[in-house]
Amino acid sequence: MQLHSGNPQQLPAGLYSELSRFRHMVFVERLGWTLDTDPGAEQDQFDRPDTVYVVAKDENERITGCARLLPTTRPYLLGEVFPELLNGMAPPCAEDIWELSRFAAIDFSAKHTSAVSQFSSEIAVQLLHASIQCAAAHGAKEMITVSPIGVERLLRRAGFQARRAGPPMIIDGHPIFACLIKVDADAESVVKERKTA
Amino acid sequence: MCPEHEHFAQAPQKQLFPSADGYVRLSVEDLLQIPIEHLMSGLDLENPALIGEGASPTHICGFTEWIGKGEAAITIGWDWQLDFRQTNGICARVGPPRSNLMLLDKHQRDVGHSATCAKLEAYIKTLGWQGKTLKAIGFNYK
Repeated sequence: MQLHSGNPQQLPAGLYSELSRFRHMVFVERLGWTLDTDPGAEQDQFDRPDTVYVVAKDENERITGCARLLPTTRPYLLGEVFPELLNGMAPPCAEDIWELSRFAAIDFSAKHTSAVSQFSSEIAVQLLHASIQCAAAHGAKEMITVSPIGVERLLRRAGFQARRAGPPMIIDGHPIFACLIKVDADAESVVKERKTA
Repeated sequence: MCPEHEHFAQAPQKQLFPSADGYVRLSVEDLLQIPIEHLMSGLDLENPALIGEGASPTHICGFTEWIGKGEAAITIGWDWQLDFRQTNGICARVGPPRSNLMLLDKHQRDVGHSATCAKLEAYIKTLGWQGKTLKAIGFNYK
């Protein structure tokens, strides 16, 4: 797996466009999300010059995973679009809390992809490690994310410290919740320790 | 309701608010005053059925979510497994519960994640949740 991270200017030439097409394939075409997008390319108001992306590619240079990181000190998805998931808590606004969104990890050999199954593959675990390390490099100590119900269980099984910020709610037909993930600068070793314990 | 907490049955429900870290903090006694109801249940799509000899399922696995509504909702979810090999099936919680709760000791201090999970496991046993959970996914559980 090759990993690239950075804001749109920092990514290799052409990768941001390729990422938009990948996101459209995953979120609009495979998962059926109702998003206001241009044909074949997915991006929204949170794709900004300061947005940080983590992109995974396989040995054939195909994108196999992506993640989007946003500081909570500026507008972000959960705070702007899904604040009801926070159970009355004010949306976090802190330099050490970053939002993880548009997370996808695709196993091209799998017959189908579900909103939950994409979190259980080895690609997903590696991508999440990379996302955590990238967030940590930007000063994050915690990540918050809107996730399908079931992701909390998968994250914990994979050894990540994940917990819910509020009860799950059904939005646009999908049961989702706000998930908090602890950013451990040495997360990979922590996860390995947990798996062998 | 656990016998040792019966004398709290008439206490008014405490107003709850999430802390800045997202936890709803309360004592076990306060938790027992909150009416909790079934929110949703479903099969574990990652592991819906375990196939035994003869290709017949021996277990089905799923999740269930419960909620205590209020100013700040309390949410508790857990995984379960229904074992068909037992007479009438045995439906039991599997793994630790997941919640937005941090329980407090008598000094109003956090008991911590592990102790909270342990106390919630005992609490879940008192709920009689199996019927509602399996009914929600179309099972008639007795």
